Amino acid sequence: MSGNLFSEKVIDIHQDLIDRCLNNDRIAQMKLYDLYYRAVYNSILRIVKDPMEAEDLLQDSFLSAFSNMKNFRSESSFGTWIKKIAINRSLNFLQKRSLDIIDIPEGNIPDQMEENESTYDKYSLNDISEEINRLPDGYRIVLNLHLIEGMDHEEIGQILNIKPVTSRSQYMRGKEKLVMNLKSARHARHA
Amino acid sequence: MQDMLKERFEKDIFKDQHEPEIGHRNRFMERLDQEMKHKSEGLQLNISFKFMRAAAAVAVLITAISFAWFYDQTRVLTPETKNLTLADISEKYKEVEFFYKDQMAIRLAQLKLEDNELNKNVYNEAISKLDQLNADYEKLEIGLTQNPGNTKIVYAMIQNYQLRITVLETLLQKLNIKESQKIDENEKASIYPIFPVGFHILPFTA
Repeated sequence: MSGNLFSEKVIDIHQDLIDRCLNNDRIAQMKLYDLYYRAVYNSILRIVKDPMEAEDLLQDSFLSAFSNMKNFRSESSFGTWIKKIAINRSLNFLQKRSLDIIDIPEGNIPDQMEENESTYDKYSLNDISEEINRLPDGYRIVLNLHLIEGMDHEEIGQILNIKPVTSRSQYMRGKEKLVMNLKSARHARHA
Repeated sequence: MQDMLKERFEKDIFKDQHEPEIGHRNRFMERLDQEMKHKSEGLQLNISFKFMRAAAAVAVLITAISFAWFYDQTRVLTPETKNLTLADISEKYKEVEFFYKDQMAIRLAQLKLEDNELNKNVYNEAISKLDQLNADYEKLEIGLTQNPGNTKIVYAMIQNYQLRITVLETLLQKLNIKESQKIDENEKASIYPIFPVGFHILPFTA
C-alpha cells in the first residue's frame, strides 16, 4: 500500500463505469457509489468521528468526484482518487471547527523508539485503534493516514500542506504517546 | 527502519467495519438527482456546467463583497480564541471559501509523481511555495480577526487561495499530468475567474 504517490499508471478495473460517468450516466454513478461508499465512509469517519457529518461528507465527496470526472486521470485508481478527495474534505471540515490538525511541539524528535516484535502483541488491533482515536488531533490524523490509509509521509505532507519530515516526526511522537497510553491503559485494567 | 506498528496494521483487513445510517443510498440518490437537474437546466441554456459554476462563484462573490462593503464595522463579535476565516464572516464567504478549498482538493488528489529526482525537486519547490502562502494566509486570518469584514483583507485571502491553486496547477502541468487532457482555454480561465487583479470583477455587475 505504501508509496502510492510514486506508483505506476493504473488501469482501473472499473474503467467502463468511469467512462459512463463522464456522460453523467446515473446508473454507472450509483454503481461506483455502491462499490466505494463503504471504504470512503470509513476513511471519513476515522477523521471526523461523527456519523452524521461523515455521511454529509460522503455525499459531498461523491458529488464532487462525479462533477469533476474529467479531471480524473488514470494515474491512480478511482478508489484512491475519491478517497483522497474525501480525506481532503474531512480535513477541511476539521479545520473549520478550529481544530489544530498539526501542532508541532518543541523538543527532541524521537528518531527511533524502543520497539520490538512484542511491543504491540499484547494489544488487539481494536484496542490500538481506540487509543489512536483518543490521541490529540495532530497525532491522531497522522497515525491514521499512515497506518490505516497506507499513505507515506510524502503523501501526508502533501495532503496536510506540511513538509514530509514534519509528518514523519509527528508520526514518531504520536507513536511514542500511543505506546505510553496503551501501557497505562493496560496497567489501569490490571490494577 | 522497521515499523512494527505499521506491520501490525498492514495485516488488518477488517478496517472498514462501519456502515452509514440506513437509507444513505436513497439520500445520496436524491442529492445526485438534484445535481443532475441543475446540470441539465444549464445545458438547456447551452451553457456549460463549468461556466455556470464559475458564474455562480462570481455572483456569490459580488453579493459577498457588497455585503462586506456595508458590513457594520461596529458589530460586536462574540469573543473567540480562534482566528476568523472567510467562512466565519458570512454564509456567502463560506461558499466562496469552500469553492476554493474544493478546487485545491481536486488538484491535490490528482497529484501523482513518477519517482525521479527532477520531479521531487519540482514537487518540493511547489510545496515550499504553498507553505509560504499558507503562512501568509494565517497572517491574514489574524488580520481579519482584528478587523472583521475588512474588504482588503478578504480580497487578499481570496487571492491567496487563487495563488495556491495556480501553484498546484503549475505543478501538475510541470509533472505533465495533464498532457493529454483537453481543457479549452475558456474553461481553463473560468476555473478561477475571480479577481485576476483586484477590481476586475466590477464589469460583471453590469
